[in-house]
Amino acid sequence: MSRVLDWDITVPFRWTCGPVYGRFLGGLKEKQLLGFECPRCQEVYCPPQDICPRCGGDFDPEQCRPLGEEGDLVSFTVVEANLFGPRPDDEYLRRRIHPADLGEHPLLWPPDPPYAIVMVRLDGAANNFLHLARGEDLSRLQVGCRMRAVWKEEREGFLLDLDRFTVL
Amino acid sequence: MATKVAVVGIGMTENKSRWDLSLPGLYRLAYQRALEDCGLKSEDIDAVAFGHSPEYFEGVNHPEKWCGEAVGALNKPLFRVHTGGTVGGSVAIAAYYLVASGKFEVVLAISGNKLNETSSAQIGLSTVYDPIMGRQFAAGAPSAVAVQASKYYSQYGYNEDHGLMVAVKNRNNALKNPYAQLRIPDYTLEGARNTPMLCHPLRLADMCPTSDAACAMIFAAEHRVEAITDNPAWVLSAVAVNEGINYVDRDWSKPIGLRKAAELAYERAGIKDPRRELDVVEVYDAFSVQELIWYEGLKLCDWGEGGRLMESGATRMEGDIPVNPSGGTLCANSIGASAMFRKAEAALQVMGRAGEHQIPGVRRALGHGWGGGIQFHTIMIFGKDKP
Ligand SMILES: [Zn+2]
Repeated sequence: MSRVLDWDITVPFRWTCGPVYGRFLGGLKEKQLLGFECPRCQEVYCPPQDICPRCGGDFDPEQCRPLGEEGDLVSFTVVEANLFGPRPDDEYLRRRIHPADLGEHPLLWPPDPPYAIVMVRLDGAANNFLHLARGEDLSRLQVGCRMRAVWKEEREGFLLDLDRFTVL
Repeated sequence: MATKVAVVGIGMTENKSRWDLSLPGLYRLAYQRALEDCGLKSEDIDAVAFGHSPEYFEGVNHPEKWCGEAVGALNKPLFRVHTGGTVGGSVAIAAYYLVASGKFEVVLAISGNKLNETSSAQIGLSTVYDPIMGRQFAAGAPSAVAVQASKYYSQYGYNEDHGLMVAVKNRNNALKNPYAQLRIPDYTLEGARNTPMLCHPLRLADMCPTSDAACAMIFAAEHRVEAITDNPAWVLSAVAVNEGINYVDRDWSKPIGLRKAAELAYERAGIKDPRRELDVVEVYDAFSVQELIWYEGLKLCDWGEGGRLMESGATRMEGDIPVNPSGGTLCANSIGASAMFRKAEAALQVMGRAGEHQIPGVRRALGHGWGGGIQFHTIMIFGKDKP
């Protein structure tokens, strides 16, 4: 006869960002969307990766400059259902999802639906930026429409310092 | 010159929730069925290529430790392979390479998952997103594929009905496949349209189910094939390509990695016109709309023509290029086994042993898989005639 065991695993993690992502996240804290130029092929990436995906070159974390705050909406989805099941309370999230020494980020659980995941091509960038749109009429989202960054008041060097993109 | 290789045995488990079998028990069932299928014994297998997708799904890391003996890997080489949803395809290709290299004569490929062991497969799939740039708002796999779908539909003037047409086709095909999970009689476009919107433009009907399943294939070297079976499926080509994750001008609706894999696979198999020369195709359609995009990547039609190919009826069971007669991943998705199911189904079609969903007179069949950030692709082409 089969039997089903019910357990849980609790393992806090910490994630090292390295110099390139580290510089990028530092830029977000200063309300800057930094574009990183590949020293080898000169393509400009926002967001960057550790390695240029075009030529395999290494980025120089200092070879970057702020791009504007606007871009084109390449594609998007409006998340209309909670695919994760019920959202746990913040105490659970602090304990289970995020180690205390990295600060509190209740949003490391996705926002409550509806919200949009947007793929934005910032002006001057060669690649796409996946981020959020929320708190507005999401039916205004159309592939090709112009988007602008909206910042959080309090920023700490985290992807969600950029609160969302909004339709211009 | 590489050794010629054929598939000689296949073992599948039914896709469903399985509270009767442990993870090793599930793998063992597929393994035993593959041995029985070709009359081999455990000692006839020289090596095992073992696959499993993100460990999160069962909360068991390094599952080959637990499952090794269950798949006969006792005092013989065992190789673990992992490429997310593609893994079943990567494992089959790895097993093929082991035999083609001449170092091993008979190799087992096996891959699976029990997706129902996690309380939320979508939380698990969100841990596939890197923690610095995207996990903060990921809603599992559907949210990523929905972004792919919006781009595809808007770029070519299609709409959500085009994906739903795939769902209707494949769900009706699945009625003929006892291994499929979603076997829903009288599945109609109207019914599909009325399912809830989950991630716009994808509805519940556009999405795969959550399955527990394993799949096994046994690959043998040319000089061993004849003694094992008089009905092998010869490997004509096997190709895996990784597309980058966020490269310059990446277009999720135009999978250049798949196109490259397809071109290589056709070249190696001597195929010039895939639509005419292939008799049946199995693609990894975890989401309906992807089948249309993979038509294009696989050169069954030009870029942008996938929706029209669907409308034409050519990919239906009775069409000139049937796609997913098994019902595809849209009707059975354990993730770990799914890309191997596509290869195994293609091999069964070549052997003429696909049962009720057999396409008549198949001489060449293609099986595909994708995984990762819609970036890994695998293709295997099987033939009735020795290459
Ligand atoms: Zn470069």
